[in-house]
Formats: sequence, C-alpha cells, structure tokens
Amino acid sequence: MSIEVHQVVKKFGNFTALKGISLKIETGELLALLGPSGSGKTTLLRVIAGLEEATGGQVFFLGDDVSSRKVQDRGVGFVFQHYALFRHMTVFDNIAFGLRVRPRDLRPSEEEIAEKVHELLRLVRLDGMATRFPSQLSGGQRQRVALARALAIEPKVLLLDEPFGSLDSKVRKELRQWLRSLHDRLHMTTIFVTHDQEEALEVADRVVVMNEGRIEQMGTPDEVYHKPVNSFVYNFLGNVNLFHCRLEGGKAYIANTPVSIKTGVGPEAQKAKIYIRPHLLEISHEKKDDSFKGVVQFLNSAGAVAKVEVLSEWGEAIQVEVPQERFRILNLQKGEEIYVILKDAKLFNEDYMI
Amino acid sequence: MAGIVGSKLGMAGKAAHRPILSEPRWIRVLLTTIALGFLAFFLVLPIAMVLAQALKKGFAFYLHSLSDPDALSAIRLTLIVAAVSVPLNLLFGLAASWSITKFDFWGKKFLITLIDLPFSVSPVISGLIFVLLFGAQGVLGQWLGEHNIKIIFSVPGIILATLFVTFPFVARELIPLMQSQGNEEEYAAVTLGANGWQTFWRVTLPNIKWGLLYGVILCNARAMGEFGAVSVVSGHIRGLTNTIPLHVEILYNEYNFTAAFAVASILMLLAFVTLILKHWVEWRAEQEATQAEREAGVS
Repeated sequence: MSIEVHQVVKKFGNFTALKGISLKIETGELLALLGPSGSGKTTLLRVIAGLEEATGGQVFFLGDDVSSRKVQDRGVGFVFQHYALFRHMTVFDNIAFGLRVRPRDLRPSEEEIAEKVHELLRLVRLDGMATRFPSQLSGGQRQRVALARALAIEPKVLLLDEPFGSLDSKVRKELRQWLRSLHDRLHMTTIFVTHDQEEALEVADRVVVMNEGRIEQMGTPDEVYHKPVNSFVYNFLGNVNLFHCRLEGGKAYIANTPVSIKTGVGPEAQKAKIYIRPHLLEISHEKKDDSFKGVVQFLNSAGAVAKVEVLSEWGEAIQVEVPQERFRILNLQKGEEIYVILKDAKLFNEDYMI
Repeated sequence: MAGIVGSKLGMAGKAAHRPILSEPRWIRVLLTTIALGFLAFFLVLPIAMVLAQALKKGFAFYLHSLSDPDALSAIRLTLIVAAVSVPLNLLFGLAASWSITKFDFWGKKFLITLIDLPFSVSPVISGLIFVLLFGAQGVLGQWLGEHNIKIIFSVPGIILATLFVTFPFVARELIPLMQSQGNEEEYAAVTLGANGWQTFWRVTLPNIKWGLLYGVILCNARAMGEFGAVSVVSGHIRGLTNTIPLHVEILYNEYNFTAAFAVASILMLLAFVTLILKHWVEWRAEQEATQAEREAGVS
C-alpha cells in the first residue's frame, strides 16, 4: 500500500515537531526515517499510524485521506521502541491479541487463531516460546514477539519505531539483516525510524534524512551517502573532518594550503567549510598536491581500518582512516611529521549546527 | 528492561556499601529498643487493653453486648455504608486515575490537587459541608424538605460523608502506579484494533489489579472506621443512624465500658483483617515482580 504524507505539521504547545513534511512511500518499499533525536522522525511515524493527531496536513493510504481515521481503523502494524508487550500475557496471548479483539463476525475461531500464532512464531523463529511471558525473553526475542504481534492483524503497513534501539550491537546487526530478508519475503510497505545511519543505509531502499522537523534529503542509501545535498546530511551520515577555508581564484585555501575542490564551488573570497570523511584522506611521507603537513598524535590499528589522529600545521586534530595494508607500509610513529592528502573533499557554504 | 537493570545495579551498590553504612552495635540496639518500645506502648498495650476490657465480664457478656439490637443495627449500617461507598469510590478512583494518566485535559493539575482534599481537611469539616448543603437550614435544605427527602441525620448523609472522606484512597494508589507503567501497552492495544473498553479490561486492569485491590482495602478500612465526618451528619439515632464507631462512643459516654470495648473489638478485628489482607496483596504483587525479574535474569 502506498502512503503519502502531505504538508504535515505537528505542534506540541509552542514546540513545532514537524514543520510541513511531505513525502511519498511506494507500495512494498522499505523506508528509513533517519535523524538525530528531536528531529521529529518518531512523531512523523506516530502521525502516520494515527497515534498522534497532526496539527495540519493530510496522510493518504492508497490515495484515501486517512487523517481523521482512528488508529484502530488504519490497519497499521506498529512496533514500539520498547516493545510494549503485554506483560501479563504469554507470548501466545500477545500475538493473538489483535485477532481476539476483533468484532465477533470478523473474529477467527480459536483454532484458526492458534494456527496463525504458530505460523507467526515460526516466521520470527520463536517456535516453542508460546507459553513464555515477556519477562522471560531476551531483548531480541521480545522485539520479534512485538513484530509477530504487529503482523498478526495482517497490516497493510508496518511501522517500526527504533526497532533495534535498545539491543546490543551484535543482536542489532543480526536482527536488521533478518528484517531486510523478512521484508524481501513479505513485501509489505515498511517504514522504520532510526538514529543509526549505518542501520538506515544498510537496510532501507530509501532513506529520509530529517532534522529539526524538516526533511533534509530523500534518496537511496547511495544517493544520500555519496551526494549529500548539504553539510548536515554529510555530517550525519558518517564521521567527518571539518576545515574552515576561504575561496580565492577558483581554489580553496585551508590556512595557506591551496586545495582543489571538485564539487560545489561557491562565490569568490568567501569563507566556507570543507567536509571530508576520514577514509578520503591519505597519509604520505612526501609532499604532494592538495596536501598539508601534520604530526601523528594517536594510532589505533584495532579494527577493519587503522585510525590515525593527526595534528595539522594550523593546530587542529584531524581523523584519518588508513587501510591496514597501507598502514603497515607507512610504519607510522607517534610524533612523526607526515603529509595529509585530500582526495575528495565536499564544500558547503551554509552554516549548520550539529 | 531498564528498570530491571537499574534495580540490579541498585542491589549491587547496596551490597557493596553495607559494611560502610553499618552502625556500631550499641546504636543498633538503642534504635531497635526505641522502635519496639514505642510500638509496644502505643499499639500493643492499647490493643491488649481493649481485649481485656471487652472480656472483663466474661465471654457471655461479650457476646451479649454484640448481639444487642442496637449493636447489630450499627454493624448492619456500617456494612451498608461500606458496601455502597467502596464500589462508588472504586469507580471514581479508576475514572480519575485513568483520565489523569492517560489523557491531557484542561484542569488536570487542579484535579490532582483536589483529590487530596479529604486528606488535608479535618473530617469534622467534611461532615459540616454536608450539613451546610443538605441540612434543614442548608442551601438545599428547604427544597429537600418540600420533597420529603432526608439526607442529614439519616443513612444517605452518612454514605455521602463516608464517600467524601474515603475517595482519595483508590485514586492515590493508582495514579503513581499507572504513571510509572506509562501508556505504551495501551497504544499497542489500539494499534492492534482494540477499542477503549477492550483496552481497559484486557490491558490496563490486569496491570493495576494489585494496586487497585490495595486501594480498595484501605478505602474499606477507612469507610468502616470513619468517626468525625459521620458523627456530624448522623444525629446519633440509636438503631437507625449509628455506625460501629458512633455506637462505641455512645456506650462509652453511658459508662457502659465493657460493652463499648466489646463493640470496639469488632473494629479492631477489622483492622487486623485489613492488615493481613494488605500484607498479602503486597506480598503477591512483590512475588509477581521478583518472579518476573528473576526469570528475566535467568534467560
């Protein structure tokens, strides 16, 4: 089912959580709402679900305006951040809840319900857990019960609020890959909220980057990662180094080092900011084009890439990520003088507070 | 989840600090003696006195005092008053705590403050309010008189006064409990298609049942034992508008000490039953909580 959000505004007293959000989600799409806390992503999800009433604007399901429709009648499966499992009910009763509260003429028989619940338990790989109580389950298991409970009512849309937010990192990674494969099987329109860029980029078909109640950018993970429209998106989607520079004669100067900028050239003689990801910097023992001098401060080679902190000639700490192989060849020492080369810098004129 | 982790951390912290917080032996002995002595003097001694006085003229006289028609009528009235006011306050307490914790509405803070009013007002004043409202000289007195409706110096007045005095008990018990539980489960229920009624019966009520029962027990104890407010509106008509506490006072004022203490022993019995019930409810609620916690820790 396709969803369209049109100019949605949500105010809480004097605070405006959503400042006119418009977006369209295609049938069967897996969409991530990504943003820092307070960006309005959860509020948007709750407005779509009907748990929160929008101050202005409309929500359409398959072209129908559902803005004034109650939660119960929207047919959405909602998975809450802290699961919100019914603590006094077993896993079985939790999952069966949505079917048992149906009006009598639409309610399946107890046998049908039992069959459905066991089918869902198999789907979320929790067979044999039917008689447990939520308190007897691990975080990851609770999350999957919440998902099975939401799926039991056969929703047309699945909405997940920070689905992996309170799990430890290993379980998180497993579960998000599982969610992706589940989505590929069920093809249900799914929206999930996250503040974890890695999660959004890895799982979603499309990512909506939000900040302060507005959408900053919408696009495929590739688009938002490689073609960020502004410094906020660039900043939020990964670690960055920030350089203050001035523009002169088609060149950018960081301190007194001229560097060539490939994308986004702003007006002359203006102060601007250059952002560059740690893995797009290179370390060399010799001076090259677009390079500046620095001193190695810290070395950390544990992990997939080696992390090096360099103190630049103008006194700023810069993070560089070096592939392990290159790191071994460089054989860096603390306090050593080296050159840092800028490979692909992004220049933004506007000011964003992160 | 967070709560469980939190409490576990708390326990670990406590265990680590015990040797530091432990006081010298003589201080512990002194404090315990003071506490126990206080308890003995102000609680155990009076209870023993009540029983001793009640049985002073033998068990036959004790039974006779209780089966006196006036005493029986007082017991009956007390039961009626409790049977009417406790369910009504249960409904009020549920409605108040439900609306306070689940919705936002204008005047919510005011309502929370107002619920405590009977706790902060002297029971005598609570009784007087009803006399001023419904008494012969009261605001509504003339109209009630014309329609031959008797409230003051009759059972409805006693019930009203009791209702007023006891209405905070259930609400006061439920509001913090429901606040700590939050609305997430209710939200989950409505997204699954449950209507308000189903959400209440299937999700909210099972989560608050122990708190609710606790509130009802306290409410009942107060409803049966209330003296001040009831005394003002009752008129002390023997066999008609006397509750147990009022009957005790009448007997006492007539120097009928043994009978007074015999009737009083019923209230004392009620107090014991209440304490035991209260303890049992707390124990059950705690059992459920610790069991859940232990199981969570195991898996």
